[in-house]
Amino acid sequence: MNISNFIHRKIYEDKLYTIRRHPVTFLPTILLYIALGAVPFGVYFLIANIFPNLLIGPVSRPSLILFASAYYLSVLLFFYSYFLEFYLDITIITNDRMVDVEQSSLFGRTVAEVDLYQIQDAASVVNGVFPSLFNYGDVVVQTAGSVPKFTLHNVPRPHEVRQMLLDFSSADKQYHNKK
Amino acid sequence: MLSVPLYIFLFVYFFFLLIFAAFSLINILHITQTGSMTLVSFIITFITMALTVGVFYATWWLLKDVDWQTQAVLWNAEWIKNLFSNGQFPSF
Repeated sequence: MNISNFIHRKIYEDKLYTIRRHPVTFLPTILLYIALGAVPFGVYFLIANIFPNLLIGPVSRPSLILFASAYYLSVLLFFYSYFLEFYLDITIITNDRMVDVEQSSLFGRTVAEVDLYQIQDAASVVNGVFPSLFNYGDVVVQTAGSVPKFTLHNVPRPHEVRQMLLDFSSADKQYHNKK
Repeated sequence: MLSVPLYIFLFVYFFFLLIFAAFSLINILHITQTGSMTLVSFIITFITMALTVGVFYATWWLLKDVDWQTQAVLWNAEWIKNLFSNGQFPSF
């Protein structure tokens, strides 16, 4: 399945942009999980110095290895799950509508969409050192639809995204006024 | 004295692996369902799977000579008895 199938793309939707969060915002998570991966090494050196017999015992050694293995697999699973929560937060913009997909957890996903002609206002916010350096931030979209406010978090080039949304919205409004 | 053979721990580990496999499959399903199988998601998936295989291999390599019939003592009343008789209990 591709993005077009996922949003049930209509035949007149000729433009399609996919916006995800800026990759820089995932770096703290990578660093956190690298630190978590180093924890068993620290524990190993502690045990080796305080309770060295645990590392050679016929029961304690296999138990510790199994526990360490389960720990590392859990860290990998949590890392992968968090990556998906990060990566599956997608905003899809076509020349007709905006679809916002928010993956809140492994079993939680919210999909909301608004027709572009219903967009009333859009604001882009870049706040902080890293967002200014790497040019990412939030785009807040006010709509006249059933979902009054969309916030696209940490998107790259937020000012350009805001301008693109307003341009598309203007074009869509003209099209609907002609009809 | 309450003891169990060491292979019980291995069964618990296998049960954990079942949960791990189920959650990993759900994650991969999410990627395919949302049309997000891109180069980035492929690379992260590949790295995660490679590390998972590495953990499995290291676990097997470290445990290959273990005698799984060894009895693991979960509870022994002597522990408490010795705690008092060895004079390890703090005296005031």
